Amino acid sequence: MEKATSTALQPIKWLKYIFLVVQLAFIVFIVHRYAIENNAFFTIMIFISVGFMVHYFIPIQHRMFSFGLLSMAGTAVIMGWEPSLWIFSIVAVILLICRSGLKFSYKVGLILAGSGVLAVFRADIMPFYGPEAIWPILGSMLMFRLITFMYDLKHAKKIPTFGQSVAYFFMLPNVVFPLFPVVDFTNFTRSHYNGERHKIYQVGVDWITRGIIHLLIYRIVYYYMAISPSDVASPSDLMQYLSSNFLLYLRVSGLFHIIVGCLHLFGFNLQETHHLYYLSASFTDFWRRINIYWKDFMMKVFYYPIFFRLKSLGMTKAIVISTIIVFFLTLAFHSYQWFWLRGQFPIIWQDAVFWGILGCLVIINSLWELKKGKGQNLAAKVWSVKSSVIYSTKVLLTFTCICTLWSLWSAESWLGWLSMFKVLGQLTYSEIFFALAIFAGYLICGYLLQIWTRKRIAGGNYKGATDRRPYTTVCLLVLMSVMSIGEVYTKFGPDIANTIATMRAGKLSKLDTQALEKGYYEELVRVNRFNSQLWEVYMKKPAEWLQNPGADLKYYTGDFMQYELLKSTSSSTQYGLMTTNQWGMRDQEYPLKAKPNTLRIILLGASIETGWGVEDDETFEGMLESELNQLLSKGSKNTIEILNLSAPGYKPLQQLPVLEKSQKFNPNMIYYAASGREMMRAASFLQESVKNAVDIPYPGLRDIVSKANITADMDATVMEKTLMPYRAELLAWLYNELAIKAKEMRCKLVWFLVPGVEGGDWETTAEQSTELARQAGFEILNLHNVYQGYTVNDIALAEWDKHPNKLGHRLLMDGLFKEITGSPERYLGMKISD
Amino acid sequence: MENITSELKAYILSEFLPGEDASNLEDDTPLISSGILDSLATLKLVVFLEEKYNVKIAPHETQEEYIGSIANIVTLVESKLSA
Repeated sequence: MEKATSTALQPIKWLKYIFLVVQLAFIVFIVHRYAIENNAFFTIMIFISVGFMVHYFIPIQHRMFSFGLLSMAGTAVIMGWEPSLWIFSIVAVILLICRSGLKFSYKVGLILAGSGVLAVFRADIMPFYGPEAIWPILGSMLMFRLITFMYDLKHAKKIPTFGQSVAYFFMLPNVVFPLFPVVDFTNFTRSHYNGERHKIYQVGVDWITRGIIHLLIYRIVYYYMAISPSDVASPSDLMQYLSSNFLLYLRVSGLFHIIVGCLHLFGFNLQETHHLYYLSASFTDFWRRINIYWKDFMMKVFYYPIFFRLKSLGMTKAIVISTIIVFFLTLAFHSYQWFWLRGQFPIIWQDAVFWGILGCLVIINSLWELKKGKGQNLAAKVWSVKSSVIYSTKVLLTFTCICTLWSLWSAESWLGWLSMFKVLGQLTYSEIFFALAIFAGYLICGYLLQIWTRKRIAGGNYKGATDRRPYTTVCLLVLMSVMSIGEVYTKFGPDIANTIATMRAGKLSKLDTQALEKGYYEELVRVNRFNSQLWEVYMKKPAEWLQNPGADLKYYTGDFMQYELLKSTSSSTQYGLMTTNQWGMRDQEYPLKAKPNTLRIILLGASIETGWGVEDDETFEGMLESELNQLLSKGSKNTIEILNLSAPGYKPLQQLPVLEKSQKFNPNMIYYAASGREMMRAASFLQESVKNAVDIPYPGLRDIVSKANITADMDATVMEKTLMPYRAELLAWLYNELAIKAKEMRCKLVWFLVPGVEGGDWETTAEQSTELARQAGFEILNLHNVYQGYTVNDIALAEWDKHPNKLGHRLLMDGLFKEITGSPERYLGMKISD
Repeated sequence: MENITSELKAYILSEFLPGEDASNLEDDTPLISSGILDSLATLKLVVFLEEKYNVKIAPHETQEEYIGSIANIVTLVESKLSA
């Protein structure tokens, strides 16, 4: 308290204050310009900056409580009043129990009982009548913090104040970051203004800046480096795959730096959450440097108490058993965390393997250190070439092992992961020589770096985090701000401009977009990687979000088509009614035989064409039919019927049996709606069919299967990789078959691409599909600029669901209407007026 | 107190900082935040304190508040000895 009082007596230093405020203004600008995280984070960053400007002038004795109030207000601003009131009420009950005069064991019992009740609601065992949105934030506030709070309460010499408790549970910026470091309660309270306050504030600004840099580097890795196992075709691809997986963790370290940096702005002089973890020289070193708060939490609450109970067994046995238990608990807490954030408790083999192997490596390393000692010095030590080479080699080996282990953690399958390493057999002598040259360069750089950093320490120039002059931070902030301006970064040539444009985009990468698409057919629990942006997108997705497309409306046919929509049924979804007619189309009723003067069009498509996410009367197909008929009614006796044979989840190959089925309606035109990833989707369906031993009725398709040599017993990743060279051939075969079938039916074929609501790699692959369709004889209808002038948020259903919304369907209809009426003979085979 | 301090210093220097100049290790040198005491070193230190001074250290006393510096450790041991 002495230190705190002396801090309170420090006069206000206007220059330092203004300097900090200016830096914060830069940070807010950068967060906005680079779209760091999400809109909520931008709002909370403004909130924090303004909060800091006021907090600076509040007397020390009120700063803790005022921070608690500010945090509660931030929760209300982001979440709205109703969810906030639920959160405040639940935390208030918990605090009342914790601060009551009850015996500690009774308090624990009551807290456990209360948590059990909340878990029952979270798991949907009993209906919860409050807003679902509270769970991830409430879970994040309580799931670990309550454990450390209770632990400290048991051992504390005095009960924490109400202000400390409120500030601890609601601490900003938790409300926008459900994945939050486990801040220790003792450290939280003890570190509050335990030093010169301007230095603490400056560290906060430094760390927020560092966090933003981590996030920007992460984006480069995420967009440019991350590849899928099926893309690994050479040793360099393998290196890229292994390293990028681990480098994606920069996102977590970036976020944690920002979070703890924000806490510094309110006087919490907390330690770093991560410390140069890519430079770990051993597995124990890695465990100590990565997510330091988690390690400290596990050590304090579990490791030491377990060790103390077991130490009569002897040091070695006690260490081994305690470490095994800690790693097992880490694994279990991973699922526990997932439960509170998503409402499910997954057990995933990759997690078990990762934590199991890492646990074993840490045990071996610990026993080695116990025997040999770590060997360290307080003052600078003169480094020899030998010691530097040994140290650098250790760092490289640790990095390589962790990368490999990390890639296993994110692998889809064990066999798929192993199959990637086959490319090592392709290593040539020149590649080996090149790798050795790089290694030699790395050792030289490592030596120079070690000499330089040691000299800085010895020479007294190195001042540690709390004493560093802020010039570097200011320079970085100015640089990032200037480089975020289009007029500036476009002057540096297309490569730099593209890289910065990428850094400024907060969208999903190619891989995650594909995974998001796949997610409609897979279990949500597979999206469980901490370093994945997709994980976060899924986390925001409400558990009951529209369910699986058409889940209640599917009728399984048992043949190659696999399923179609149920006939004459109606299902109530979140967005309204989804009704099917007597033929199993999401459409109005049609007779089997068309009336005279009727042009009949068959629409082949998937979820967008079915109208996933919009009402029965809001699909672009329905609106188009109505608009065309309205136009025709003015000068023609003809009418148009568009029979919508689309179904959610249909992939290109399924359209062939659908077209065969449509013959009975005697159509005049076939409209084929393509998606951006026709080749990938066609291949993935063939893969599923082979895997599930579905009978393939088309000889041409069987030829491709036999040429590619894919079999049902193959691992999914291996199969995907094997089929990759045949993707174009597969789609060409499909389009040709459709053209042959259409010719038999005397129908004209029109192909149009339904663009994605946001740009991406689909634009490149779409060009190839368009060309194949053209070669097969389709009329190509261009909808390319249909969404121009609108943002993704305007036209997508949600962040986690990129289907077009009502406006998106309206724009699609407008685009089709314009193109069709512009060239009616081409797209309808007739004139609009008689 | 002098005795405990010097014994502790000698132990820490020999076990965790071999080759280090004794003058660099002061009574208020941070032991945990500087990395001198990691988890294994903490356990070794606890075993040493319990055996050497015949005291019982509790798990929660492995935190910075109790063993964050030589001065803190001496206070902890003395409070146990005088209890």
